[in-house]
Amino acid sequence: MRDFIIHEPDNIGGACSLLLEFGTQARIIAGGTDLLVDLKQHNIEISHLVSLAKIGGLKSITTIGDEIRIGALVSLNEVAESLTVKKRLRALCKAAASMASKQIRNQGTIGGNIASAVPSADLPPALLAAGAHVIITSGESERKVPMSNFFYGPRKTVLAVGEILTQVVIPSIGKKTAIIYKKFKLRGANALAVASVATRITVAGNLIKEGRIVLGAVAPVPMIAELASEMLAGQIPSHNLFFRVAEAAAAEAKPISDIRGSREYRKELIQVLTKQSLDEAFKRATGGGD
Amino acid sequence: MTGEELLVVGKPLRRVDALDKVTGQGIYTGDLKFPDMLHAKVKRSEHAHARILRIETSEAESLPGVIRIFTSKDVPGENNVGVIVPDQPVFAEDTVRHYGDAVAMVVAESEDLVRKAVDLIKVDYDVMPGVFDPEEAMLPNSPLVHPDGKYGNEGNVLSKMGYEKGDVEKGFRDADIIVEEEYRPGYQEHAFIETERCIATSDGRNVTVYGSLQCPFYVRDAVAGALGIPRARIRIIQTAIGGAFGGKEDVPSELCARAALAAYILRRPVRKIRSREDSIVMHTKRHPMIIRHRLGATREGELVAARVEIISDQGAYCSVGKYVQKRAMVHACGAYDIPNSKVDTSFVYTNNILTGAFRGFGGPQVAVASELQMDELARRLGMDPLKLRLKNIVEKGGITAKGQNLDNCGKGLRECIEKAANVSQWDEKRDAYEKFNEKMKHSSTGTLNIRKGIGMSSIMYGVALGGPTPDSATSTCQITEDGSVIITTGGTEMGQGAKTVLSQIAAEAVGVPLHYVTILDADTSIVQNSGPSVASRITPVIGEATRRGAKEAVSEISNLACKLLGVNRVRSVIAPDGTPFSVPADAMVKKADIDKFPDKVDYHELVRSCYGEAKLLLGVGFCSTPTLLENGEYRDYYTYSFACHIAEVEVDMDTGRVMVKKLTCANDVGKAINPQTVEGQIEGGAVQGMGYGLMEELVTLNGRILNPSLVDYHIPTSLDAPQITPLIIEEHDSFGPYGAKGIGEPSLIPTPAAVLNAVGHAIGLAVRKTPASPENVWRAIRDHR
Ligand SMILES: Cc1cc2nc3c(=O)[nH]c(=O)nc-3n(C[C@H](O)[C@H](O)[C@H](O)COP(=O)(O)OP(=O)(O)OC[C@H]3O[C@@H](n4cnc5c(N)ncnc54)[C@H](O)[C@@H]3O)c2cc1C
Repeated sequence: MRDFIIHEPDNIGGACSLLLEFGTQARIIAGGTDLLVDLKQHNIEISHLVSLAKIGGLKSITTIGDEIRIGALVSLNEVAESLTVKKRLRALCKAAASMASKQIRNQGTIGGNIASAVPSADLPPALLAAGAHVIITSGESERKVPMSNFFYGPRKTVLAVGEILTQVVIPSIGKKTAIIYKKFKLRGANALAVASVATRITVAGNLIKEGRIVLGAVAPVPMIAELASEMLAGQIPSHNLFFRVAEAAAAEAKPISDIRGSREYRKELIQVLTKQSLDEAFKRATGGGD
Repeated sequence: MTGEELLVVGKPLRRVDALDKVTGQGIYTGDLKFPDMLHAKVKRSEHAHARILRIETSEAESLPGVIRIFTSKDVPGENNVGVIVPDQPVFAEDTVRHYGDAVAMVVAESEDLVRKAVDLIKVDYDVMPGVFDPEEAMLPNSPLVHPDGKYGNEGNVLSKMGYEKGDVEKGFRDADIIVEEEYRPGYQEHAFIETERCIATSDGRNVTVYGSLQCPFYVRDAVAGALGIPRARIRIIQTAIGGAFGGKEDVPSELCARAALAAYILRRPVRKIRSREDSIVMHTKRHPMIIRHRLGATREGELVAARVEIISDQGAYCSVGKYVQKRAMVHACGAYDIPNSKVDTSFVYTNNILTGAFRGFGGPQVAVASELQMDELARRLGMDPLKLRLKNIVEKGGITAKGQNLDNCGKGLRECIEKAANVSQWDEKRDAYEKFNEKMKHSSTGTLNIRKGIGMSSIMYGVALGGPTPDSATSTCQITEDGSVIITTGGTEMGQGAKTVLSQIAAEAVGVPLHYVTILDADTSIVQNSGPSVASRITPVIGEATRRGAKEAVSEISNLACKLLGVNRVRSVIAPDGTPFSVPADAMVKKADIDKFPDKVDYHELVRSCYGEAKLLLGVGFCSTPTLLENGEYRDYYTYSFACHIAEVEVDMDTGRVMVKKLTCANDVGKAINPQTVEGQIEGGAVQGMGYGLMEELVTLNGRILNPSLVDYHIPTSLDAPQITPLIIEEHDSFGPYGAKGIGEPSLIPTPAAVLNAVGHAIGLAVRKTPASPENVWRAIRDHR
């Protein structure tokens, strides 16, 4: 690993100006669980790290009404164990708990997981399903970006040089709505998703009012399966419907073949996970426990 | 044995190195620092098979802090580290034969510099076609990995071994039913926590190497050969080892030879630590095999004939491949009494990663074939696999499939099978799971499409190094003035508990508490060459040498005690406060009453008196296994240990994912010197075996390993480990210390097959390769539909 200088500014403005000053020679470091691997394996060579650790206000989970705001530096374990989040978006807790190992979950952050923009990342699908957005600051101004517009390729995001992701905002999920996250991995811990699905269903009377299916690890970015999602709106729920939606989701997935699984197998997994998540989401949305 | 109570042996005592390890006090190679220490790293081959045209090092050399770059030209001795066949160079000369070949080595002031300099070395290659499939490698026109005949190889076939017993053709003619299938057990990576590492120092004449080494004497011989200096001038010192599993058997030879070469020439300490990627790309793997297995039986399920053909991918170099081959051949037909059997094996050079020693040494692979065959046969006969096994196992007085007369062991297997079946509730579960699966097949509504299965595998394992030469070992025991005991052996502690078990054996033989004994780390200038720490031989063979050495060391003490007590024989009693005493052998005294018992002598007084009378309290223990028979023939292995593992699984039919719920593992160990370490071995072996059966997949493409990291090569985590019930069976062995046989490998060998048989029971069809990963199981289910 090349030598680097760690900067520890105590305010956002200071962090942004350091990032602007060193440009491509600098990176933000949060928990470092992605970044240090990249540095050690020489995937990136930089000489400045800008730590967010000393900046206040990035480590809390707060609510405004039913909206949840999660600071970028909140650890994965804090997300997994937060009662506030569990009450409103249990799928996010489950996604966080499914990640890595306890040690890494204590170290890794929600902001880092999103900003890394790894196609198999576990938190983005649930956040997309929930219609979350992130707050990005450049020190001078803030902007609000929906999760669905945040990614544009593996390891590519809308973040510009000098910008920091500060908050994740999850809107009120609403009544008669459930979100379920399903991840397929190759062992109990320390395993990335081979495929993942986050499914959201809202019911009204006997009908499904609307649904959203988000796929992870099967496209360059976490993707909403638009056609499959649309098939749910206004329909009477049935095994048959869920089966067809699952097939549609698999058809929309664009997986590659790699060491974790072939393209063909990943499509199959999407179908299985979509069906399972639809069953569970429907059950929960109509008041059944899980 | 007079039925006297054992003092130390057979007790679940805490491991002697436990505190050091859990408190971080243990000294590993990575903890050692020397003044002026240099760092080294090799430039690996960039091709699977190519001629080296030019190695351009000037740019790398010009980096400030780079001391020197070594290539094959710098090797003063023999450019070879192969233990059996001299086919493996220290540095590639004119040809690279796999991606793990070292072309050059940079030595520099820092690890960072070393890495940078390695990247600056430019090698021009003339790329040659490679061969990556052992069956293709056997075809007449395939590219040759080594010149024909150079190492006794015929084309790419490094070696052929086989045997025939009885009349196999007739056997099959007489069979009512014949089962014939092909099996493909795959690679396995050792994935030790600590990658290979060493530090070499030299004054230009003598060389010392510290390292994480399973077999220090292999390293000594390799370093001596490469440097062209006598073995006596080389000192190999073993540090604490962070796991080995066979992967630090001959593997450290090349690493240490390179570091020693640099230290010898530069006269400065040189440290070499492999990155995880270098480790996975460069070191030996478990041999993948293609096994064609034909098994004939009568309608009643009596085995009459077996025909097994094994082709294995040896990779670019022999390593210990021929030894693995022999073990695979002897064990190919399993633990069964089969009157007619024929086995042929071919180990074949390819341009893939070389294959070699791995816990089980060919055993797990052949068990996958022979044990799945038994289940296939049972299914075709409509018989319970348990009953089929009990009907056919080879037992004491019987003849093994290979033809060895089991005159000295063989009771343990039936006991293992019956105990494991009993404890796991085999009969009930077999039935219950079949009913459950039948019900699941006809229910379409449930979200989870689960099937359950229970499967078994029973094996025999030839303990220690096989015949014709007996396996032998030496150990010394020294009793010091204060009565504490020093043991030297060439056996190494690699996490398996060797120091604890050897300490218990020595303490028992001398008659003192465990903490009196210190086992020295292997240091080739001090300890004797007790043979390699392999083949589950430390406890039975080195342990027996240790027992004998300790008995000899204590003999003057016993003589004196006899004289003082006026008896012919004495035994030891350890008082509640820990003081050892000698009492008449037939004295009816319990440890708690020793205070009031008059006829006793304090061990410490005896030691002092012996020193006062100038008696020698040193023993040299030597033993060799009863491998040779009086009629001039030999045993394939001097004894066998036995095991039966039973696995219970759940399979998700939609994704192919297998969850192992329970493992019930009965292992015959002769005598559990320390039941706690035996259980540790059984649990560790079973999980490693489960990993081999289910999860671990080395992905290769034209000789290149595509997943050289522990994120992408999946070994089981604690969350994947099932509930394990270890069951210790003790069929006393007449040779080993206190009746002990080996446990290191038979703890792993049956597990992969047991898991695969459970999967077969669950899904109703066999998965005949490893790993039964979700995708592989899913494909098997889909292809069957
Ligand atoms: C063994 C192992 C297992 C893993 N398993 C999983 C898994 O199962 N699932 C999964 O999704 N991930 C997994 N990861 C990846 C990683 O742990 C997570 O993505 C983690 O959430 C990253 O957070 P971090 O704080 O450590 O990020 P860092 O490493 O600190 O940063 C990651 C990237 O994001 C940028 N960044 C960080 N914070 C911000 C911010 N606030 N604003 C802008 N940019 C920022 C950094 O500059 C860097 O480029 C695993 C990693 C390891 C090493």
